[in-house]
Formats: sequence, C-alpha cells, structure tokens
Amino acid sequence: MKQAMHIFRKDVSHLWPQIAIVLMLVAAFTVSNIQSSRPAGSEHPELRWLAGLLGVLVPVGYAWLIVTLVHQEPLPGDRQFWLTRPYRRGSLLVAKVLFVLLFVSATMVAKDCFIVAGRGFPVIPNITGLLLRQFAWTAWVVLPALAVGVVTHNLQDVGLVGALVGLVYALQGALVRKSFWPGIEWVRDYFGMLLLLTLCAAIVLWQYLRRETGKARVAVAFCSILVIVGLPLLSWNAAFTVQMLARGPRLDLAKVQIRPNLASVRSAVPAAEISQAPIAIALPLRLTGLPSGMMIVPDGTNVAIASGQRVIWRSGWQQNWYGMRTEQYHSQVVYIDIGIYRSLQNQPVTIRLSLGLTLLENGTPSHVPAHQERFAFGGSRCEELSPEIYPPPISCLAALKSPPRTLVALEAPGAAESISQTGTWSYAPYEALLDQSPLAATSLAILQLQDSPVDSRALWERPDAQIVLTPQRPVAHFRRDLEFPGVRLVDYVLPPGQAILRAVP
Amino acid sequence: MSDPIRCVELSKKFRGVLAVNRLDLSVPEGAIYALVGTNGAGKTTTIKTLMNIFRPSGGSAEVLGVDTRQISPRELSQIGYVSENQEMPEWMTVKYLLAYLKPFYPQWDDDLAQEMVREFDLPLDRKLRHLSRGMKMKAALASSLAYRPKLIVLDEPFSGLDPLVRDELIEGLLERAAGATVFISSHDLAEIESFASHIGYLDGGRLLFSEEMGTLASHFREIEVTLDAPPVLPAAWPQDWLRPETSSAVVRFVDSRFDQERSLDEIRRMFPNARNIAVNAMPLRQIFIALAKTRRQAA
Repeated sequence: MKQAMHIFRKDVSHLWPQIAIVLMLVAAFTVSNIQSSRPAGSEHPELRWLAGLLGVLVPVGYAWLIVTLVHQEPLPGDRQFWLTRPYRRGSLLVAKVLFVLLFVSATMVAKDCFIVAGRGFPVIPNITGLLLRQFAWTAWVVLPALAVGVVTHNLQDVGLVGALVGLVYALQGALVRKSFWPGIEWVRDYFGMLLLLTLCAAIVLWQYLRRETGKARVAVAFCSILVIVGLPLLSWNAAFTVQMLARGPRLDLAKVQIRPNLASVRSAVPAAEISQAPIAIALPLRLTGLPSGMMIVPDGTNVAIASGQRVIWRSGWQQNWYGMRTEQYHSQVVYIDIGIYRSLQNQPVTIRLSLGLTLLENGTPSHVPAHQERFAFGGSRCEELSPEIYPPPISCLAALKSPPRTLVALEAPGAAESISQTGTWSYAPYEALLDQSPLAATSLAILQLQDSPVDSRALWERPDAQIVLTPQRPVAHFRRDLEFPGVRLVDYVLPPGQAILRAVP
Repeated sequence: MSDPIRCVELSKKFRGVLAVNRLDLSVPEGAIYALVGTNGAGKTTTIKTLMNIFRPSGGSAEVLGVDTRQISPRELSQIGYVSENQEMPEWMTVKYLLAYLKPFYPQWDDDLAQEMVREFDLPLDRKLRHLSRGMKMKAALASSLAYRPKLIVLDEPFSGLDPLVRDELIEGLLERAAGATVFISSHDLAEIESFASHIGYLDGGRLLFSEEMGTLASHFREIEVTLDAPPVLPAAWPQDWLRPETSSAVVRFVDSRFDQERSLDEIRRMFPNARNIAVNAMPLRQIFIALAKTRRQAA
C-alpha cells in the first residue's frame, strides 16, 4: 500500500493539469444541467446546447484522463524505465485504481448528486440508482478506457484503437440490423454492461499482472466485436426470457386465458386495396381471467403460417410498438410478408401465434387540473409547455427513472374520457444509467386516439377538465402459444392506417 | 553464492526468428563482463531476457540465483539497469527522479546519490527531457547506482556519447561498482577493453566464446609468414586460422587458438619454405573485426 500511495502521489503531482481540465468540464456540465435541463424549456436555451456539448466532452475527458494515467507506466513495450525498477504490479494497479476512484468515480458521483439535488430531487432515496449509474459508467467508460490504456503506449495508439472500433461500429451499422425493443431494451444494455465489466476488468488485471500485450490486444478486439456486433444479434426471445426471470409472477397466471376468437371479426377490405408491405393481419382474441385493475400488453409476437403440418413461413419474433389501444386486448396485429400474403390469401392456413406478454397493474390515479402549468406525478415534476395548444406537450423530469407507464385520461364532470398510454415503456429497473445526465426526461402525451368516440379537443378546452394519470406497474411477464386453424388471411387483413378490425355484421 | 548471471541453453524467438540461440553463459561474482557483438547479434535481447522484460522461448536463465521469469521487486532492488534506449519519465527533474526512486530501494544511499550528482555535474532542477543524451545517461546511472546494487546491467551505455562523457561514466561506474558484478553490452570495444575482466562474443544469437580478457588476448594472434615465393594456401587450412590474406610473398591470418609451441609447429608444417614468422598481439577491436568478418563471409 505504501508503494501504491507513492505512485499515486506521483501521478497526481504530474497529472494535475489534466485533472483540473476534467474537473472544470465536470463542474461546467453540472452547472449547465442544473440551469438548463428544465422539464419545460429553459430560460437559458444556450445552456442546453452547452450541456449537450459538455455531455460529450465529459466522458471523453474522463477517458482521456484514464488512458493518460495508465500511460504514465505504459504496459506494452520493452523500453519503459519502470520495468526494471522494483515496482510491485499489484501496487501499480492499486495506485491507478485509487486515482480513478478519486478523480473519476467520485467526481461522477458528486456530479450526479449535485445535479439531482440541484434540480430539487432528494439524493438519499435515489442512492441505489445513483450507485447503479456508477456501475454502468464504470462498465461503459472507465473500464474500456483502462482496457485501451493497458494495451496502448501513447495517445496515437489510442487514436488508432478508436478508429478501428469506429470501423467495426460502422460495419455493424451496415451489416447488422438492430431493432429497438421498447420494453426489454434494457436487457441488452445491462447484458452489454456485464459483458464489458467482466471482459475489460479481466483484460486490465491480466495485463497488469502478466503483461502479455499481444494476448491482451486480441482480447480487446474480441471484446469490441462481441459488444458492437454481438449485442445487436441477441434474440428478442432470449431477452424476454431474461425479463421473465427478472420479474417472477406474483399471481396465478393460469387463470389468464387467451384464445382465438375467429368468429368475432372479419376484414371488409377489398383485396385490391391491399398493397402495402408488410401486410398487417389482426388475429381476433378472447381474453378472460384478467384480474380487475390489470391490463395486458403484448411485447412481442412470433407467427408461423402452416399448411397442414408443413410450416410455410415464420416471422421470427417481432416486437410490438404498442401502436394500438391495449386496454381491451381483443386482437393481435402481426405483420407478414406481402409475397406470402398474395400466395396464401384465399387458402385456409393454420396460424401459430406465440405471444410475449406483460401484465400491468393499475396504481392510484392522480387528478390534475387540465390547465395547471406545473404538477408532480410519480416522483416526477411535470410541466405543460404550451397549455394553449392541443394536444398540450407535457414534459416530466425525474431522477434516474422516467415516470412509469401511465394511462392518461381527460375527464370533466358528465363527460366521457379519452385515454392514451404514455410514460416509459421500459421495464428497466433504472433508465438514466448511461445518459449524460442522471435526470430522466419524458413527454406525457395526450392524444386524440384513433377510433375514439370522444372529441378530446373539446374536452380539453373545458375549464373544469382534469387530467387523470394512472400509473401502471408491470407485475408479470409470460408467454402464450395460440393456434388459429383454417384461417383465410384475406378475412383478417387490416386496412391501411387502421389499428383494429371491426365486426362485420 | 552462485554466479550472479547464469544462462542454460537460453533461446529467444521473435515470430520464428531466433534472436538468441541456445546461449550458455556464466558471469562470476565480481566480474565486469562485456557482451560484445555486431548490431543485431542478440545482445539487447539477451539482456532484456535476463531482466525479465522478455520471457525466454527456451532454456532458462538465472539472475542473482532466481529464475528470470520469477524475478521479483526484491531482486530488482539489487539490480541497477541502464540502457541506451530506455524510456525515462522525461517530465521529471533530476531531483524528482532521485526522490521518486528512493522509496523503492531500502538500501538507497542519499550521500552516494548526492556525490554522483556533484561528480556528474547533474542539474537537479532540470527536466530529463531538457537534458543532453550524455546527461540523461549520467542521471540514469546515478539513479541506478545510488542503492549500491549487487548486479549492474548496462545495455550499450556509451553508444553515441562523446569521449569525455564516456570517460566520466566509466570512471563513475568503476568507482561505485566495487564488489558488484557488472554485465555490460557494447560494440564500443576500445572502452570495454580498458576495464572488462571477462568477455563474451555474440553473433547471430550464438555465443562464440566467453572467457577472461587475459585468456582471450593470449588466444588471438595476428600471424605474418614471409615466404620465398608467391604463396599458395594449403588445401587443408585449419579452421582456427581466420581471415587469410596473401600478397607477393606474404601470408597473413589470425590464429584464434594461439599456443606458442603448437601454433609455430603448425605454421612451419604448413609453410615449410617460411623465411620469417611474425607473431603480433591483437587489440580487442581487431579480434572483434576479424571474428565479425569471418562470420559474415561464412554466412
């Protein structure tokens, strides 16, 4: 420890200009965030731009400080003076870790705490999220910077590594299709975080204790490819399985039954009108056994079309974008290839539908006067940006976690309500882990819903209108497999722009 | 105590190229051992393997009784290492360098460090990056001798230095190396000759010989044989006779296994018409050149 402290003091005495630059960036970022990241437009819009720029410069500054620190005693090469001096490798590593803890991690925590407190949110109740955020930044910034530092000799080498990683990233963008998974994207993020944490820590340890640069460089390349190319290849199904395991059901799901309900609706769309690709097919369902105060949401679907026992086409898992009213789950829209549709549209086929579902439990509703400029909701602070326009943009700000998935309704005495769903779609324990700011901003949407019989604009314009916000908490994730025999695709095709099928008299 | 440096069939390979080839070498305690050879002979690789900067590809080496792969800070605190191409922390001043290194060495002697600073005329407040090459080497040497190491390893320390600085360094080294073992690589033979007690000649990664200086000097002689007529070299030319040259009635060569009686008998047998045989002692530099040229021709 004595030697570690000695090396640490040397690094601090030499790197104080770099430390000062990074601390200034962090301080500027903190101040600009406290000043500008207001839920409803800033009175200092120029600071928002500055906060954005600083949001890039801060992680870059941290990474620069870390690699510069490691390069004080470069590990690759055979000419460094320290190699033939009685350095204990463990002490050297401890000295570097101490430095990172003090000038990177601690300043990150301080920055986040100042921003959270500066925006009026309590720090102590958010401490778990703040620490998890450090964990994420350690995985995505600190350890990768250390890993790059231990396999490079100077900043030119780092630039080369950066260019190669950028190239892999560009190739990935061109070759691998990555789709965003609204509810379970966090599984991919967290998995990447664990992957980076494990691999980068192993590389850093290996290089400090064994100093085998060739192998460590191969490991860095492997790690980069795995994270950049491998993560987008993670299957939706696997991620949903993780989600199911992460939140075991707290109720008996056997009672929740979903069955095909083919007799209920038919498409009235003339075949000639169907020209868009892919083709949207709405498969009618009957949902029973749903406990009161709960709602079911389809997160993903997987369709197979079979003729007899032979499977003709599979969709693979498709994530649902929640573009429909899900409070009454009476049909499931799936998308099929237009060629398959044209060849099979009039012939009876069997459709096998696998569903990845989530049960949401309604919380206690909050009633807010519709034209109140500012209000608090679910730990968030919300603000109507322009109450005079419709639909009114409402922006909410919270520490670390966006407002929960929320049912938004407009109510007025004697008037019907108009409902939309808003808030975060993510099932992540915490969201703002890798964001520049620990504050999570979300827009609450009040929409004129398609097919709604209510004129929500008229409702909004009433002075006694209220916004009713009902938070929803995911309580279970599960799968169901359904079979629809003897289906003619043409009977269930959705007309362009329509979200549900209506019963044909 | 065993020899401070011992190599047994030590090999080091880089991407299939043997830089050091089955090297057997022992450096006795208290010796000043000079490892000489042309550029690329494998001197630096040998030293870096001894210092555990490189891991051996084959064989083994011991330094201060410890396998080089197991060298720990304990052994390194007894070794002073200076290399011509070492990357020093250039941002440090001489004073900071000495102060920074001091806690690493329990046996650090402040007085000795100060003495060397004075003797080498080192500017304490100047950063290493602003020092001349000679001054940098002096600073490196001072920082490597101030803890009275048991073993001093020097890799081409005098390369590119002016003669005055070289002399100062050698003097400084010899004054403080009393009792220590010195292992020095160089192709600067004139200086080596003046103070080395042992010498090894490395060529293409192979150690061609390793012996005491006095023995080496007695083994090599330049022979000049004057004949009656223009000479014809005998077909059975001895292997130990290097670099044969002929001109009018004279044959010159280097005998690398010279023995007063045996060699003269052999010369007379080879050249029965010899009118005169001149035997000249050779300086190290000449020996080195003869060996190097012979190896190059053979290659």
